[in-house]
Amino acid sequence: MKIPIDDLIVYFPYPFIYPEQYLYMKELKKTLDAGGHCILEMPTGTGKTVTLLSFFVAYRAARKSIGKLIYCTRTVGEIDKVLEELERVLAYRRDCNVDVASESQLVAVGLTTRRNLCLHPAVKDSETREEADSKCRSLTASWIRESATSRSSDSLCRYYETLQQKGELFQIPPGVYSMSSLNAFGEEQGICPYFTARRSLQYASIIVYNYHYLLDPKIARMISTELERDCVVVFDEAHNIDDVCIETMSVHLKRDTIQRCYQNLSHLSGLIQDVKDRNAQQLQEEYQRVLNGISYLPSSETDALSVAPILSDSALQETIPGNIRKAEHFLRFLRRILEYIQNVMQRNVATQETTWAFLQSMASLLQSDFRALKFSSDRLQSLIQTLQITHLLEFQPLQTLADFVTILGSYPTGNAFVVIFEPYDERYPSIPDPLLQLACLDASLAMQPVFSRFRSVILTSGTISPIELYSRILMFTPVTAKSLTMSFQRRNVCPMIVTRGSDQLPISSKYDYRHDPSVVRNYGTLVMEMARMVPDGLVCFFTSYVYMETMIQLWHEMGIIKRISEYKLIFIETPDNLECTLALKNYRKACDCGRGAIFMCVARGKVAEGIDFDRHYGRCVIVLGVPFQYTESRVLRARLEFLRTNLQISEGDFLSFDAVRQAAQCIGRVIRSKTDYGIMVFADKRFNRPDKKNKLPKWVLQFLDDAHCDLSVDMAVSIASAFLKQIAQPFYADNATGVALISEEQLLHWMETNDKKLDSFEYSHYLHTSSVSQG
Amino acid sequence: MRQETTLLAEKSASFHKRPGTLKIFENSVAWNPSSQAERQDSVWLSLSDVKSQMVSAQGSKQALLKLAMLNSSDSYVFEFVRAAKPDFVSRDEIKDIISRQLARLKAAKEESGTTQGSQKEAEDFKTTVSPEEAKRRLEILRRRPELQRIHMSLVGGVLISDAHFWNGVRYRLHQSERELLNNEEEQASVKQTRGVSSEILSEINPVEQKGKTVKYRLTQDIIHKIFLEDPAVHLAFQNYVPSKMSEQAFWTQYFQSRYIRQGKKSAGSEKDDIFTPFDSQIQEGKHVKDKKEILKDVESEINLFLDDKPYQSGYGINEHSVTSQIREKEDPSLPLLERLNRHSSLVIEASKTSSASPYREDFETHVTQQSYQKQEQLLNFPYSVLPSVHSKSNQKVHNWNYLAASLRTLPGNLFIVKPSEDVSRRVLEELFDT
Repeated sequence: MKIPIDDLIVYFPYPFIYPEQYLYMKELKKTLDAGGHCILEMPTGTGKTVTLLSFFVAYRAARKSIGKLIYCTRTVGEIDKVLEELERVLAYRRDCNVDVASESQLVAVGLTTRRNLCLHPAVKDSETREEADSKCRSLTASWIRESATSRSSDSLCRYYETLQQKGELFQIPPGVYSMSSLNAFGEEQGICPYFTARRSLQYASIIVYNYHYLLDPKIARMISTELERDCVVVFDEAHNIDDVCIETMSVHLKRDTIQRCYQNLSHLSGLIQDVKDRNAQQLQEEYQRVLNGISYLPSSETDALSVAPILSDSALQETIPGNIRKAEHFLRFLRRILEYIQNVMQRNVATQETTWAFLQSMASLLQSDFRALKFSSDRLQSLIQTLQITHLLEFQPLQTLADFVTILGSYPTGNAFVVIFEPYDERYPSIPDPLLQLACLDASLAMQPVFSRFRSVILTSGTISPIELYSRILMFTPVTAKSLTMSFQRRNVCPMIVTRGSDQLPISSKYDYRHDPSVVRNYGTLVMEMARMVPDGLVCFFTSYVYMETMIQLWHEMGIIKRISEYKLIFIETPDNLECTLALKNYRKACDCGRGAIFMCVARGKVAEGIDFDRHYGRCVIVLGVPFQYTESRVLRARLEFLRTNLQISEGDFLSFDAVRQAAQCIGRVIRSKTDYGIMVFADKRFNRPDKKNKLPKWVLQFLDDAHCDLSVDMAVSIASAFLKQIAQPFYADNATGVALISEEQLLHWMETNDKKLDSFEYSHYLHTSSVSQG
Repeated sequence: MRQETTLLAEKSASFHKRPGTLKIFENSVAWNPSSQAERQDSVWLSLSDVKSQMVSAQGSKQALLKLAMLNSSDSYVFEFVRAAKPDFVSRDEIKDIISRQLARLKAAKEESGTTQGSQKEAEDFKTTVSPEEAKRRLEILRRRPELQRIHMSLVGGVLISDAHFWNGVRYRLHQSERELLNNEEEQASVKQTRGVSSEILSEINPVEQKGKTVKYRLTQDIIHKIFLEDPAVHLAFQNYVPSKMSEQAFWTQYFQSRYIRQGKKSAGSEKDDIFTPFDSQIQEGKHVKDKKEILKDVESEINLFLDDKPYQSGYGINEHSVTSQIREKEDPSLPLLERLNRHSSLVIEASKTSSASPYREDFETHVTQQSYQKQEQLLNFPYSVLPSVHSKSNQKVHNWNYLAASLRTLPGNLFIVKPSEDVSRRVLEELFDT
């Protein structure tokens, strides 16, 4: 259908549109017209992606000035989903014969790591990303290619060589390139899919890749530097964006990292000695380059490594100080720092220092100026290039150390960072496990360059409330910020807050009584009763791995597990990726064949973040306990203090905000479309408090009546059974038209009569439950 | 047919709770109800049709006599009552007479079989039919209503004898149809097996516990489950039993190792554990498997393996945990969690043949069957608003056809495939076209 948004015609590839999708487009247009940033919350399963894509393609066709669309996702699976939708949008536009000429020019590409985009048999089966990168480098680095005798030699990658032969001007034909189609295209042409994708970033109109390619300065400066200012950046599922920002800027050093750093250093000095004997010229050239202040320029794309984790370019324009210009001097410099850090890590009390204090004590002991610190990452890169090292994996520890001191040197003052040392993990005091971390406390640090560099940044998610908190944490002012509710034709979501067991004793994951037998038993009964009642799939979220393990152990002892297993098969999330994937696969199989299964996983875990339990894969979700962060953690306490002093956000506020957004994220996993339905159980008495309850997303609150709050287990079970009975009645899509679905004519009609009426959509609730029972 | 011969005995007996009299003749048994109104319900049995007789135990509540028939699964039960008390005396009298007559008939038949030979072929057929053959015939009739109808009208109406009928069936059956019948028989013998139950064999409870001896009872079912859940035990079993130790000794070892010593595992008792080498063998086997191979058919949306976070080592908040090795030692619940996952996966794998990912495939075939226009419609609908596209009930219909098709080719499956109407009709047509 065609949707007029002011003067813009959007071709939407479906015959109907949801009212909230229309509103979403209007907000997007406002934002792009104004050229600012925005935060938009729209319930899960209302088609954010397709709305965004069809709107952007239309907007781009109308206004040539706009740049690329950079769509950032969290997982590889999501990249493919986005591209699939895009394909549908483009196909629909082609069918409608809209600006066929320019439209056919559009290239959309999804970029992931080399491990996923490789055809070379020796590389593509690598276990980890780093291993694949190293192997690839050993086949494609510029000096290897120069030294190789012939272009077809086995020491080179023939896919990359073919790509090189095609020349710099080679462009992939217009189309949508997902991971599999890139690989297929590469196979057909005999060219390297990864570098084809990398090069295509320059001319592609739509780029889909991971957050890290834009947020992590180490990768962003390598991959995303050439993107122009007029780009529109979208962060999908952006509710955890502050965590990602902080994570990318934090560095951890462990004891074995330090040990391996020593090995790296001696290996490097051996190499330097070698090179000196053979070809002193090489090192001299490097010295000259460093002296002249030319920071290392990769001579080819394959050489480029991750670079210094510094955000401001100004720091890089200074020349590298004299004391680390010579290779040997630089190694000695690193060794002194390493010795100092090792000393620090031998303490047996936990300490927390500001970067300034840490630097002061380090500088006085090292008797050196800490101005040189911030160049160490770049200097190390330059050295590795000069020595023509290909096995990067081995030098990872030294890289980490260099990043640590670089960040330390770049932010000597201020309280955005803190240095925390812990001799052992608080939860396992008997095991010595020294950990030195440079923790970033300010989420806006990594986000700031993105905000200032691009024309529009759009943060969107199904659960991104309260919105004003995000803008404060990330320190920006959005031009539009809106939270849209869900229009619906029948009550397909049944949220409940369960606070008591059937014996009226409170249930809670609060530390004081989480191991109380009555709490354990009542949680067990809740899960068991739901397993008995709910068809197909059921998902349980625990607050942490440790909690999940102890609960399952206790349930096992009480015989609850045995009884649950009478109704459903039990699958459990494990930290191992492979095993977890297999568990998920079998879980889906169990749901498909009608046997039904229950999946136990962890809020904040991999499953909670990236896996959808749509349709029969998840008919009910139970959140056992409020998923608070581990509050004893020093890093978290430091962050809370930072938030309190710098942003005036109280500790309690932030903690419950964080816990509730995690819980909302968990329950959002089961609703992926409007025909989907599901029961959502918040099982903790603390969810009933207004400070938690009011932080839930609007689309959950609109279904959460008073009758669904403060329930006991048996009440919840009877509500669930009533809900399932009602939802099992025949459902006709026709009933939804005009309410939750709007056809083109209806839309036009409404816009003619009263445009404001559509605006008011978000304030009114469409409770048409009666029509369901009639149908 | 009813030639009245010498009456040997007459006693009052009730049949189907109706009082009446039971008469024994030389070659037959007859029962007539005492009330005239029910005359049509009288029973007449030829003694040559009687396979055997059974009686209730002396002193039980009722005095019963049961006559089992040769050519059908029917049986006739007579109750002997006198003055509201079980009348064992008359029952036994009757029993003796019948058994005498049966023995006499048998002897006479053998005699006639040798002397008269082929002349009385039909009679011969009738009598030599083995119980298994009879059962098989019954089964065939039961499953083919059409054939049963013909049998009723031909044999029941005494147009031809039962033996002739079956002779005809046999004669007209081609080799292929015969096979079909045999196949069907085979499949019938594979009853719809139950899948592995979802329940976890969490603990085998001892049946008896006296002092230091603990007694366990193992059934085939439990042993099967143990093997499923613990492949190391299966390997050990194959290796040791019966060459190195008896089955009983093996299971004793098993319980000692898995249950009794469980509490004190750290005491170094594992040295003499026969399972340890196999445990490690299984562990090694796990790692050998190629990851890509395992993940081959996993959809990308649930494949966590695709996303390892960039720069794993030394970065990220999640690193703030003790290494997994430490956890394994510290954590007593890990084996349980592993077992739960393993068990559930096994249950799913076990029913693989019946449900191997029919979901997606089927959906596609469904779409291709529709006309192009319909397909368009399906694809264009927003987020599958059509409930039927994704709803389960619809899926199941397809699954059934799909399953039936695939199962027919695979023998020994979980479901019996019913022969389609077409096939049975074709057999019948071939059988009885004249």
